[in-house]
Amino acid sequence: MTNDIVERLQEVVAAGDEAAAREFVMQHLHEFSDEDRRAIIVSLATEALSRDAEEIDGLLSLQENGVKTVHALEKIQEKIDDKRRLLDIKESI
Amino acid sequence: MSIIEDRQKIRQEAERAKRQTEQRGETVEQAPVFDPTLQEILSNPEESQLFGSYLEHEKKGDLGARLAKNELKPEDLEALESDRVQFVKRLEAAKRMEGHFAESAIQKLVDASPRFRKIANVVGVKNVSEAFTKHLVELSVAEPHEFMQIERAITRLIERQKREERLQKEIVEICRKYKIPSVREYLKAVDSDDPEALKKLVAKSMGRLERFVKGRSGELEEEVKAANKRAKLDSLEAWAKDDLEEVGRLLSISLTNNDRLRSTLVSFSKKEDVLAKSPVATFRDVRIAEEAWESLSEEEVGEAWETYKKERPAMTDVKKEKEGFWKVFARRSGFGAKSGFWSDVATMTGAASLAGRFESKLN
Repeated sequence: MTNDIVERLQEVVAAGDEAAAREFVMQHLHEFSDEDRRAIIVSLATEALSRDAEEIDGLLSLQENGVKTVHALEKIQEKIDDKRRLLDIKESI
Repeated sequence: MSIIEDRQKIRQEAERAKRQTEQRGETVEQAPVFDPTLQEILSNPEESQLFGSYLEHEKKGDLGARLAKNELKPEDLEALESDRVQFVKRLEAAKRMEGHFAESAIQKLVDASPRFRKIANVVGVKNVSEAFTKHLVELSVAEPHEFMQIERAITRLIERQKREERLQKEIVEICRKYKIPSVREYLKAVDSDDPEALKKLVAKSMGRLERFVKGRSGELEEEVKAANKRAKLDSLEAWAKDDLEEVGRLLSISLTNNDRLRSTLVSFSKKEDVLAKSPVATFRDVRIAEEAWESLSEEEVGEAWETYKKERPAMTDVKKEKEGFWKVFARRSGFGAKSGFWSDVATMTGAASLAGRFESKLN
């Protein structure tokens, strides 16, 4: 069974279609030996965790910059309001 | 029972004995810590094999061979002690990580990582947990780079969850306060199946944010300070509102669960590609590995097997050792230091094909 799945995997990989080969591995995961299956799961999960951790760093820094910007804009709006009040006073005198 | 569970049990028993001794008012001896001697490592078949893998990874096969044959030189003793300490440290690191892969802890990673969630959904949380707990020790010893990659990713994801919780509350509040339209409403304006349309949508908001971060903030403040007419203030206010709406849109997009939109946003915000920087095998590398295996001669394989045998301090089960050899040899001769999904998958096929061609030639 195990040799059979490895042979079939060899054929799929040799066909050169990465997406198809990846899908084949996922679909037939239960047919691999325990040791091989564990190695596949760990590399897939590691790849996923690493990519997400990387993306998340970028997203977090974007969110932090965005929130800081909103606060800075709020301060600017306060200054505009102050300036308007000043103009009101000047005009009323 | 794994080595770590085994050691943990020993330690727990020692600690229980220590408590009992204390309760009886007797003198307490120092509780043993996880610090096996070289002799203990070598007398445990599993640990001995792992120590062999460690020496192999550290390119200290000669030392391993002298150790196996009991032909150590005086200067080897110091090197071996330093290797023992490093080896034990790696086992300890694997133990620290084990907690992250208990079934209950995996749920937290599933919440934090959309890609990991997909895998856990397909494979099952229990299988992911089992794969990691059984594979971690081997990884920490023989593939420290891959192990560190997992450790780093998990630390970042956990840290992110804490920061994200605080940020998300703030972003939701900003969107509510400034009546930022929902992402769904933005998507109505574009064809959400068209990557270019999504890119355009995100690029506009991103441009505003970058401009602001790069100095527009200071400029605006100066302009407000200098303004002495209502018309000027109105125009500056319109600018600020426009900026706020665009940045708010970006923040609202950053909370989305829409995969396409999220990956578009990521493509703008990503600082670096960790996998591109680390030695991870690609699908193209599989072809290169196959060519390398194809060109191997019987002599080269025989020589590698002899070296492998010498490097193993204990070789109890030859059939199993041969299986291990084909995998190590296929990986090394095909992928060198590259690791990852394609290296693991193709190593299986490479090992099978090499065993088929050369198995009968091995002594």
